[in-house]
Amino acid sequence: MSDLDIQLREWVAEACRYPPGSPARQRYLTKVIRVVSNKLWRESVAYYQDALQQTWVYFCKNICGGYDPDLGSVATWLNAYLKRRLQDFYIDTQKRRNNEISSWQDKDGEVVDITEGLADERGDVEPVWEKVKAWAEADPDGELQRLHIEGHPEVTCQVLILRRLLSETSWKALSEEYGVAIPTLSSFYRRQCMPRLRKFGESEGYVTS
Amino acid sequence: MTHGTYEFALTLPITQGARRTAQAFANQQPTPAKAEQVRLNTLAVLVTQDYMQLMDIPTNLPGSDSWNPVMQTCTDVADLELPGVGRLECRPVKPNEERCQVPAETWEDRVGYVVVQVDEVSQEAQILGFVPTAQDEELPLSDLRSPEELLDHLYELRYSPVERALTNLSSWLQNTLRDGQQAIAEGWQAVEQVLTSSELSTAYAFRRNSIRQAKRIVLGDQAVALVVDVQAGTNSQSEIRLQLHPVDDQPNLPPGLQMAILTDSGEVVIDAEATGNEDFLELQIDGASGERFSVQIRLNSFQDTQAFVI
Repeated sequence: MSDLDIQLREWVAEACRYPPGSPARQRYLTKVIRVVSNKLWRESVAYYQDALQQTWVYFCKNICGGYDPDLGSVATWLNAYLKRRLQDFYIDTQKRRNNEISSWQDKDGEVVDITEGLADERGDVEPVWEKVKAWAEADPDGELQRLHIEGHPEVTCQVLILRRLLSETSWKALSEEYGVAIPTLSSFYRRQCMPRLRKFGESEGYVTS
Repeated sequence: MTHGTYEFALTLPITQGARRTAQAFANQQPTPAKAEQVRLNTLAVLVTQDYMQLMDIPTNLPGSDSWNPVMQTCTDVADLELPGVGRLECRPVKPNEERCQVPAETWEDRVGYVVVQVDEVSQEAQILGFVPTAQDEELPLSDLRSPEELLDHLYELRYSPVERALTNLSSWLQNTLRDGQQAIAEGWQAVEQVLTSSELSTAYAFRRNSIRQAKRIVLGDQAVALVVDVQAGTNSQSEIRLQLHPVDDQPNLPPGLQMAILTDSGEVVIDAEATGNEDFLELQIDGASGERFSVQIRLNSFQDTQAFVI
């Protein structure tokens, strides 16, 4: 058994001395993931990262109780699981290849839905940014033009929302243009503009909170 | 790979689901630069969410600005809400970048900044580390602390009861100079210093012969004023009124704002919740000198607790 394997066994034993969700267990699991990730089986298929994520979920849920160090190293145990998941994904994509008409796969086996990208889920034609722009310019309540940074009536909510739309104007450029420090600008934006943008998002049905 | 620079980097997968979601959000943006920003922000958030799931740390993606198409378009945010903790900012960097951009709109209202290196070619991400605070638009990656320290930091925020100063209400009634200075150090101020005259609504009708102080309470990106009004009663009993008022020119308290009075052992004595139509909330209790209670104020996943001794 290599020094690394001994180290990993110790970390696993340490992790399992603490309850799930405790920082000590989290810390030791993180150490194991960091080191073992370099020793896992690799394949260049589109679903590889999905199989790997499932493997890490399995590792964190089952390492304490489900792993017997006498039967092999942590990497060996996880590789066996990872290969089974890769096999599942392979079978799954083969099935879909045979059954689905609206989908096709690229050479790596990734499923590509050809309906994707034609319209978003809400069936909108108008992009979000155009809606925001139209709303901010129209300012139906007059609120966006009324609220401004103290001592700077020209730096209103409306101006900041429109200038920051699509991150087009940097905070530095705005700071130089208006002679207002960046923290003052961004703090006003965060307190006054962002809540109104969130509310607009909710009223347009983008958020379900 | 990171050329061995970041010895505590943690390599994690970027799943197909994450890539599809990030691309769908990016497709909403009209310029290639903005599309790339939204795609990388989304990937950084989703990889961090996957890591939090592995660590058994709950997340609330739908409550995060990074999940809101309007906020994606208007701001450069990559936040991930952690219930009971706050918003964790997940900043993406591309391979070989040595500095991480931290936009000014994310400088406040964050419990930390985790930096995620996103390699779209290898479909791998690396959690490079974190910093607890940021005040500059550029963060040198050499300042980062390890992912293990992030875990400890989040745990402390979630569970460790911060040793809070007990605000002594009887001393307000005695009103000595030393106690006055103590109150100011704890953040208590005259009501007029916390609320403007227009915010002192008509409902604000406190009693004569009572002592009152106010404190600004910050809950995520919103704030309210807590006003405490104490009146000495008979038999060493004090009557205490606790009110919440909107600040920052808001006409009403935010909907969902909750206020509760708890006993020393944490049981709720009385509580109230704002629906969005109230310009103030009020709770009243009586207590004897030496009794302890606390006021818990919650808004979404943010909470503030103020502890008192009568």
